[in-house]
Amino acid sequence: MAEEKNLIEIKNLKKYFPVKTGFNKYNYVKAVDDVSFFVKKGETLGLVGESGCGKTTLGRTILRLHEPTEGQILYNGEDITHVDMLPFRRKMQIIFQDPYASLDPRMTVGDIIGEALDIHKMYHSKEERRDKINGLLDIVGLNTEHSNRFAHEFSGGQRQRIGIARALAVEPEFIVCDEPISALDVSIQAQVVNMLEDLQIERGFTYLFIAHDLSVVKHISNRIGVMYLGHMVELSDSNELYRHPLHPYTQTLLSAIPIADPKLSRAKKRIILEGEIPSPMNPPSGCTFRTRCPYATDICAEKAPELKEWSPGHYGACHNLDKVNG
Amino acid sequence: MEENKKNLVEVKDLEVSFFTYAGEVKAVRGISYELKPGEVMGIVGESGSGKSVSSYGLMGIIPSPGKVIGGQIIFDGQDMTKLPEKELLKIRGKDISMIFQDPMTSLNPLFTIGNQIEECLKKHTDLSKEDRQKRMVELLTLVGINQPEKRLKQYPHEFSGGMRQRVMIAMALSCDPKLLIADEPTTALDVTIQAQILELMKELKDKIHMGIVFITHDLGVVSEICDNICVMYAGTIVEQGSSDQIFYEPKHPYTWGLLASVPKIDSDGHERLVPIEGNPVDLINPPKGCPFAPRCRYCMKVCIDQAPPQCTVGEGHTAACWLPVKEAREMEG
Repeated sequence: MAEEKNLIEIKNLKKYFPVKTGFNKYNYVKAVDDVSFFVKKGETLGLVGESGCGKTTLGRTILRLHEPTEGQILYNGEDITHVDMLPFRRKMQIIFQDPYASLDPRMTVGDIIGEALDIHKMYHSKEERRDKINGLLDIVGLNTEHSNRFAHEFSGGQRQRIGIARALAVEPEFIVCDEPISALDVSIQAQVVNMLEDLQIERGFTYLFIAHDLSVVKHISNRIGVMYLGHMVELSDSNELYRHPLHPYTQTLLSAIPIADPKLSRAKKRIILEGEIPSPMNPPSGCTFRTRCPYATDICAEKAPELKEWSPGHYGACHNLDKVNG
Repeated sequence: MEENKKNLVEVKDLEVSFFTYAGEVKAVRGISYELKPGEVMGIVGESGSGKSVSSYGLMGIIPSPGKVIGGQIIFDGQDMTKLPEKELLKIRGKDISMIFQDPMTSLNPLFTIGNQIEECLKKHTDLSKEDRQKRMVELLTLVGINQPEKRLKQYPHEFSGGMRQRVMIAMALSCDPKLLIADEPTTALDVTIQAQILELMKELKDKIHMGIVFITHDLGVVSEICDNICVMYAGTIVEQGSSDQIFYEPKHPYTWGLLASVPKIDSDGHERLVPIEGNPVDLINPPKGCPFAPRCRYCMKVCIDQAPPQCTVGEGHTAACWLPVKEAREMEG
């Protein structure tokens, strides 16, 4: 069972952003608040949640693109929370959300992909660099003559392919996919999802797949974590999560997905949440979901619930799990 | 004449082009559809398929350098493309109103919500100040905003995304329009908020008898709310029919592709997605034949040379494709 090794382990990770509220006074946006989980080698962990729940911040903090406020990040058992990241950048990469904003408009595609090769000195001659870039373009389904063009000459789907080629350039083991398809058209989304899956099978990548589109996350992930206001409220195997959502938030989230099937969606009963997501600067006391939760009781206001194992491999953070699922 | 009375909107062979430096971009290339009062028509398509532009045509607000270069839009017996700006001003906001995609940018940050809703009432009705206030409170209650009196005095930045979209809907409904155009009203919102807004629109549809044109790229949203659906691709309507027909008996390969490329949420097994290969066409030089032919798995010789006819494939169900045409299939052998 060598496959079962944890590649990434996160322990009580916190990321607070300071907001100036007066002279020398600060308030903190608790973007990620006390999150712990692990990602096994070769698996895909999906992260879902509404905008502002901290899923992107979490992904970036793991790569130390944001410095964590507290907590530990372990890569292959090694603590990387405070070390020089350069050697680890070769192993951990990210694909960004917006393919229009994440590519330098003044660089050719070849240079965008080659930059990573330059930094890590991954070639001995110009020819080798060129061959590597061409090889990468080929992997993501672009032509080698595209390497002399600029990013604006490509469509959204093609740009996302360039972004993927850039991430692949350093031959990483772990890739954070930060909403890689949400800026793309439906017909193009499936192309990119399939490509990511093929690459995983061929090269044994480990993915952290962040998205707000639950059906895509379910499709690509082995396990899924659900986030709400900086906390992980549920973590489970993906099929299990969809069949038996434990947490009241996951239940509403699942019931809110529009289904592309008129008869089913007419028959479906929806749980419609009241209100909106509270401000992360001033989150409710205790359980952050209690202000919108139909099952909230007194204890929810007093104590923050911990992530507990409900059934093997299925964790939920709620005081009233027995009542909700009784 | 009898036919005309029944339809609220009739779009006939509408063509819209944008005259850019790079050339003429044919954004909409001859689309036709009809809408009856109380009906919801969904227009689905990818970005650049002309779905938004075609409905801007209904309002007469196609941005420059765009122009309607052919066809008719008949609303309430009048051809909207021929009306002078003065007449259009009387219709916009009163008989036809619109909800835009991005609630964050479509409200003026310098005016209170009350100010902005009142503007429309001032222009199109002769209500007194007190009556307008009453009407606004009524509207905000209708769209589910609590403490309407207090909220009317607030500025847009004091509202969240979902609340702003509710304000936009209240504004659009202020003069009891006959036609509401909703241009991706839920795309910028989170799923839980999207569910709230869709629920609200469904309620309103039953309460107020108006026609709705619902533009979106999300097939799930369409299946929730629409009676009829037009599927657009490269400025043309490739398939048109009732919601059930489009979802259960699709006849156009593009519709097949769209339906197959979204992951099914309720399946346990892992099925591979079936993408539509290739990229959308360039509308400066649209292909001579069927615009979908270069990406179509069932492409025949005739598809490349000749634009496909609108084939009737069921009651009120048409598809612009050569596949249902027997002669075309026989020629191919």
